Amino acid sequence: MSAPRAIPPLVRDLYKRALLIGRDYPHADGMPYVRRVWKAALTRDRDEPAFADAALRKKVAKGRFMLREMVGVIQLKKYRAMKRRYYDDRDEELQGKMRELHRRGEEGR
Amino acid sequence: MSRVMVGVKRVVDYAVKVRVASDKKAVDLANVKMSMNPFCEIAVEEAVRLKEAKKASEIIAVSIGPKQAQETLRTALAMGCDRAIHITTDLRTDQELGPKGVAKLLAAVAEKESPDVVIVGKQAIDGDMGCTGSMLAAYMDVPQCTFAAKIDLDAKTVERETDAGTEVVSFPSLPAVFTADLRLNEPRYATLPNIMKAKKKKMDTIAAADLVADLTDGNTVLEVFEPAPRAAGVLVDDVDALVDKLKNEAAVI
Amino acid sequence: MHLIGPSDPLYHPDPSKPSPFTDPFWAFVWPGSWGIAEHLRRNPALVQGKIVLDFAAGCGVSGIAAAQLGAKHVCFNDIDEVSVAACSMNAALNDLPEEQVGLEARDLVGAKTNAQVILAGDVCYEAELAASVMGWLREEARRGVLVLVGDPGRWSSKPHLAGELGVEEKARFPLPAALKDDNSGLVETSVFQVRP
Repeated sequence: MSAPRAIPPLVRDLYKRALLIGRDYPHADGMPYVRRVWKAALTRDRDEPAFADAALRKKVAKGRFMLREMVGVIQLKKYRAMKRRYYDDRDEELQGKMRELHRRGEEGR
Repeated sequence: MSRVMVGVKRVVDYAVKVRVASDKKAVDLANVKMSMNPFCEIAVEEAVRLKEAKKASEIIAVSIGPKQAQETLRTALAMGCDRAIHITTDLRTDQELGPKGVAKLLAAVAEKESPDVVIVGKQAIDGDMGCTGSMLAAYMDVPQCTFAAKIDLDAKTVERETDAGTEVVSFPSLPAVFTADLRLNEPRYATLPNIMKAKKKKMDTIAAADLVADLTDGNTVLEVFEPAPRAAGVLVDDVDALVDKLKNEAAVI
Repeated sequence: MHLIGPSDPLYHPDPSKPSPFTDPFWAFVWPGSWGIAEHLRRNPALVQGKIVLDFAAGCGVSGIAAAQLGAKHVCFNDIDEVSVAACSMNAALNDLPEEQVGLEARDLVGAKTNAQVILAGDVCYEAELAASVMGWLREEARRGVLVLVGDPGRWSSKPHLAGELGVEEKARFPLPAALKDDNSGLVETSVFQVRP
């Protein structure tokens, strides 16, 4: 095994951000899953010759994009959970039926 | 420009499946992930948007609870609040300290800070009481706009969620209390740079007992139990079938 | 990055192209410092041929701008050694000649500096420190130093950056999207001059 190369600061920063977001990521395995996937992704090209600055930044930019996607998943999941928990009795179909029922009651009066 | 105060509550994370403690007196909080109540996130986001729109000059985040409530306040600061006030208490905020005590405490803070706009979540997902905002408005003796789906401070109107849909109400004047509904906005996520910077923002600590002498609300928890598993529902094909079932099976009409 | 110009990541701080360092407070371009850099770019005469101190430099963005716009000498100062190291690396990345750059990792508050211009971005960040820092900057201004303070209108700064205190707003810039994202609640930044 070759001696480990120092982790580029941008990559370390990316991993830190991933771990922070990972705490909220909705996956059955939770944090261990996020750790595993991100470690694999960040070390995939570890043995390649040192990246030129621009190439590294491009990869880091992709990583940050993935982080934003993770945040999106977290926000969507939370919104849906709240909607299901507190608003699903406002099921539109049911509401429609209730409205028609109400109308019939008015007519029958 | 108005001063804004937001109440934030630290609750069991929405994704956690809660367990009842063995003594059946409470929900088990040992090793359970806690985070900011989702409706409080919406309240904070609304305040920050008011600031970004230059309608608010300052946002004060207030939380009541044990030491860990400071983590929740840091999240609020990272989302864009300017400073925080932590009201310390050892009472369990999911059941021992009820909406009445919380409303009294927030009203006491409001008296000191004199905010023009107070925003709180419409309810917390632990106690599900849903009346802190209304009680707070009563103690402050100011108008309240509950279940807000849209707040317009210039027009002094609020679009609010109702059982039938939404309605627009106008409020006479500020100060006023607003409670945030799910559709008010989509709260931003506190990112790493913001969290780091939030560490340096000012946080004051006040003991609850120094603000309000009596925090009880006269309620006692007798027993906490898990809900019975729900029986499967039935799909009704049309209104006639629904009427029939309501009449003959449920006997409600 | 070579020049602080529109093609540079320091100029348009973008989440995908940050200053090339991780960790704490020197890792990000701060809104106040960014504002000073913008102000200098529009008014290079303020620093041309001058001895400049970038106080509480962070990543050094305003000092680097000053150096590139023709300052005779720029001293990067921060109480955080790592920050000063970061400034040194950023200066090297921007091809600043060694003789143009000085580094100082001690607390200068209270000291009489030899600077002709002091750049102070985001120094009223902690409510407790703001008063002593601003007091010192006022003293330096009285000694004839041009003191520029960059601040995005934080709650902790407001009591210290008022016109009646002899602090005059010179410019105001809307923050670019990336800086807004990293500073929730802030949308613009100002540059103030502390009057002698």
